[in-house]
Amino acid sequence: MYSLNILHLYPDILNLYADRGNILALQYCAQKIDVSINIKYLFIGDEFPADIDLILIGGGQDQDQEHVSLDLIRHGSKIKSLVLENLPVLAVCGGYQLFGKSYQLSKKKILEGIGIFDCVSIAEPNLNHERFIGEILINAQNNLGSIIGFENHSARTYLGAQVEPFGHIVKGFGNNGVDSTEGAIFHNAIGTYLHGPILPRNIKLTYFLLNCAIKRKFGSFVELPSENDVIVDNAYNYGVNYILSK
Amino acid sequence: MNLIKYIILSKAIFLKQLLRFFVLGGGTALPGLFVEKFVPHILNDIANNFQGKIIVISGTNGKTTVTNTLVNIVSSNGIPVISNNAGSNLHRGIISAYLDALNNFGKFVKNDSMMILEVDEAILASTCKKLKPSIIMLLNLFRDQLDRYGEIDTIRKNWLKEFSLSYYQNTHLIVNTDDYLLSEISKSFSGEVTYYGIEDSSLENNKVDHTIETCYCNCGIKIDKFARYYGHLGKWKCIVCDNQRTKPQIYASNIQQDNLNLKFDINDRQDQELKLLNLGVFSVYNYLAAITASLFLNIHFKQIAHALSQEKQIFGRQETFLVKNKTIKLFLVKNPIGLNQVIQTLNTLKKKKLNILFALNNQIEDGIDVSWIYDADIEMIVSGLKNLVISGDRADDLALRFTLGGRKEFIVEKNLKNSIDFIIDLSAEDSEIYLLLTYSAMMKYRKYLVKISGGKPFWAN
Repeated sequence: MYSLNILHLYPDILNLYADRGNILALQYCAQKIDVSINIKYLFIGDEFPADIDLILIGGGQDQDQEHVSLDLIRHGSKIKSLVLENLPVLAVCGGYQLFGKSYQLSKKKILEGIGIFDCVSIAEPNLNHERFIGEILINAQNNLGSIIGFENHSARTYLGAQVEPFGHIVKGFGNNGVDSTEGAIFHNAIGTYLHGPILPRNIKLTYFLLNCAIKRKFGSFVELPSENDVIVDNAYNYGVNYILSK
Repeated sequence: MNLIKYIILSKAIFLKQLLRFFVLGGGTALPGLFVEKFVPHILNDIANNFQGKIIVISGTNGKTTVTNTLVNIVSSNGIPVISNNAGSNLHRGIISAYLDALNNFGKFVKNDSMMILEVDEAILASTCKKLKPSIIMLLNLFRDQLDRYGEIDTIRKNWLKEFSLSYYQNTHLIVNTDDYLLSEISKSFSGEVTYYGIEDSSLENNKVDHTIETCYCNCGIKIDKFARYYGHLGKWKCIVCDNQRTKPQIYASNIQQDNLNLKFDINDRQDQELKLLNLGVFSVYNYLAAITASLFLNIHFKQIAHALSQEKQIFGRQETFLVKNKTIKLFLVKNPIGLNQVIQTLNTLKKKKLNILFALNNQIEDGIDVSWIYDADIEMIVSGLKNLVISGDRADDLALRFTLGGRKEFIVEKNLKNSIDFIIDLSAEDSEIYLLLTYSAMMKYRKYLVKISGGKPFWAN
């Protein structure tokens, strides 16, 4: 039986938006393909653990991200080298911003990111500035097709030349509301603004991340379950239709 | 100008009476909306007419329950009360309540009355500025409908900015001392402050909870190692500086609960024991807030206890109906901490297995985003379930949540009437059924239950 180690970064601080559901989806899918997974946690001040196969990071309030960013930088080069070796990463919202080059909170305050993604994020201090809130549907890279979620962010993210968007907007706002891109993808690292949480609502993405980890560690992909998962499909199909009908 | 105002007010009063006559418990805010549109300065009238007699209640969870409990205590002591206690807590709801203080010609006639209002967190600061209440009650701050309110810190900072003004030096603040997120507000408040809280070591729990708000002391240290009652509420203390919870003047201790009642003492006095209907630790906080305000209003403890012993059911909040010899109890669930508290409360009931119908909607009033169901510890209730019916507009998402939480046996039925029929038929004779409902689902299920149980609509209470 294959076994994977999943590392959840700062689960006690970046826990704002139900992204714990992503862990539940990974556990659910791993069981379906007969893979055992161990969840490890990294807290502020911890050493980076060995033998990691997949990294998850969620989002928090701006104040929380300030606390995390200084600690995360300590692990930046380690995470970067793992990503270059095709380690899969899912970085959501605040985590996505900190995995970029920088996150500008205000005119005076800029949080340094770890630069996995060639992008910068800017929080708009203007109170009248529109927050991007609502259901979102994107057409994602890597033949993932329609990916659904819920976005809720005030920051705008702008991609550089060294990174591809995770997907293109069909409904919603995405990175900045202007260039119709959403998220970022670099090797097997995915950054995105999609909550929902994203993995339960898009089980194909969950299998994609698991299979990336399995391929990297054991050299080949595993076969995915052939029978339909009615409950999973119903939620996904409802979501797609609901978003498209709005 | 005044004549026009009186004409508008009298029309609104007529509209309110008309709505009461034709609409079953609904439409309570509409006349207020009408007045707000045409008499924009109406809040100033309220402030002038009720000067020194306005109590305002806010916080994420418990507003409606605390408002109703306090209204019951105060009015049973002979003081007439004007209140928006059906839960309509924006300006329109407040104004609509105010119409009850006017005669048919729009003239203020309730000089002897007190006004008790619940107010939405997002408009609390601006509303207090206009109403200048004599008492402000802050219950708690939790993550709630992030799509609507944004980050909790936005609300907290907004309150802090407003309530640190000397403008409030003659106002009295009643505050939950167990909530760290309210502590800076109470410390910088210029008027008098009364603290309430829980003192019961048997409740302290340090188990995993996925809804704990991260709290940072002003010295920069994370406040996380303390005795928690639930969520981030408890006897908080910074381990570095001397910042810590203020000892409450009014507190609950010796908290006990069985299937029917909640019991606790006030200030460790056995002659001040209370036996109450609403269950759960969150209900202790709700009762405590209302009791603290009542004591401050110089209502004697015996009178408070007497009023509480004749509690009325509160609209959709643990309200109970009897259908086909089965007891159906409604719980409003609208955010992770509230749902976790309901789950914890149901788990402490001493019965075989639970019959639950859970309806998840995502209308504006529910919050359009349903991701919060993953913040709640659904896993905690799975092993105690007998029958589960899943309903609501977002039933498919909820079914997936239960599946990932380890529960695979359930019925998904989006039709309201059918879903009720299912859970009633599945449940054994004389058993109890619990309905977990988001706000808009609660309004619909309640209406249907009133119909089939022969119960009375709320405003007739």
